[in-house]
Amino acid sequence: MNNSYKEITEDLQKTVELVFKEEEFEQLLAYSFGEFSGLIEPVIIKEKRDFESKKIVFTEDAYPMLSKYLLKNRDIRQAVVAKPCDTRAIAFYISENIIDRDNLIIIGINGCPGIKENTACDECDTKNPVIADYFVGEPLDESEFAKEIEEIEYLLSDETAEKRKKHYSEEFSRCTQCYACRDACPVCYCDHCFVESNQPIWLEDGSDPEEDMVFHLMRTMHMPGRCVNCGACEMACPEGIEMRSLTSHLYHQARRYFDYRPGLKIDQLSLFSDYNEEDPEPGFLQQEGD
Amino acid sequence: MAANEKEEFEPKIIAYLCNWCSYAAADLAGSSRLQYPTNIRAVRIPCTGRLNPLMIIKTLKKGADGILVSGCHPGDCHYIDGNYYARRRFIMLKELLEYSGVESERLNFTWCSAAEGRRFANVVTQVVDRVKSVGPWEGYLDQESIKKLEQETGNPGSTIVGSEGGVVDEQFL
Repeated sequence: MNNSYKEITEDLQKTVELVFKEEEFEQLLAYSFGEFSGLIEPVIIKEKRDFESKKIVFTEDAYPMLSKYLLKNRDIRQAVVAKPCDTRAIAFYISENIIDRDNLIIIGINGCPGIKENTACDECDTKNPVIADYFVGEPLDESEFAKEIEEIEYLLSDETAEKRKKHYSEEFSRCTQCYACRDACPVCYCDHCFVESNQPIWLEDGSDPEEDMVFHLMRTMHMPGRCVNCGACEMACPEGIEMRSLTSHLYHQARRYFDYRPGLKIDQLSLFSDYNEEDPEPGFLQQEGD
Repeated sequence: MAANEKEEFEPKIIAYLCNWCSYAAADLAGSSRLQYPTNIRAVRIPCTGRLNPLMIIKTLKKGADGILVSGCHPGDCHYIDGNYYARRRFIMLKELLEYSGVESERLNFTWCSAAEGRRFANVVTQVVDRVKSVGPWEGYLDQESIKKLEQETGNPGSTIVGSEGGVVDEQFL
């Protein structure tokens, strides 16, 4: 059974108090209710008295990925409340040497009950933290969420190519190229992003609907070996575009071809920084006598 | 008329060829007087590992009917392991593009050493046949569903040459 939000919140508050007692750090990233909006927002707590005035919670609306907020202050020692998908993103940061492990205190949430309206949570395959210093809640038994390669099902995986082309044409025609999907993504961290690059120009100006599709294809092409399948891109989209099926497809195909899933270990090379001489060659052209 | 047009369709195929093998193979095919179709436009790259997958996405956006990427056989790379990296990238790119509706016949990847002039000629013939079998490339978007949308909203900011744009607000006339 998943832990309930209430259990996690209670345990979380106790654990954070313990962390304040035991550890030294400069700031803590957590979820709390917004001062004016009353909605769940990420909060940065720098001192103990701030912690007493802000109520740290975990609810079904806690969709922002706090791991993304770590990137802004890589040099200072930070504590973070991390969902299991956040811990995978953090493990990816450490494996890519983006953040030093010693600068992090990770408070991992065990048995994550998922986020409301996030379709990624339906196909989640890590409900316990990958790495953490402190744990919140009871760990889930692995048999309850681990999925074999054969039993993977995801959005649109059974549709025909024509239907998918139509689906994506209609979905991406609403895209305004606001890049919220990129900004929300915990594993998009380049200082110089291809969408703003003008040497070379990958994306052209104007409102050609095909350019929107090209943007999404190019963004997705950066994702295999990085995407931890958290669904933050889709949650951030103001137009409600269903785009996660593209990254999800590559996530599962990378697992099928190369047995590779990002963010499971802190010492693994990323998919495209590594190779195996025995890699498969599906669909490569063959000639007689090869 | 339509059947006639299909017969006359000559695809434009961009071939990214590795400087150290396939480009030399194309050269060898030429100097050995081997015949192959003229539909390919060769682009010389230092190694298939240099090929950014975004370049292939952009090539199709710019109107190429098909892609051919040819590099050294696994283990023979001039830069030791460039083609191993390229292979992984290409598998994922192929998965992505096929998933979003690009026919697999347009995306071709093969190995060709500098001594395989005849193989290169055969590969080009094979690729041209494959691309001809799926017809001209209409772009990443499904044309029918886009027409439906343009009737509703138009595309006032269109930067496509020759496009009239869509809805024009009368106050600006």
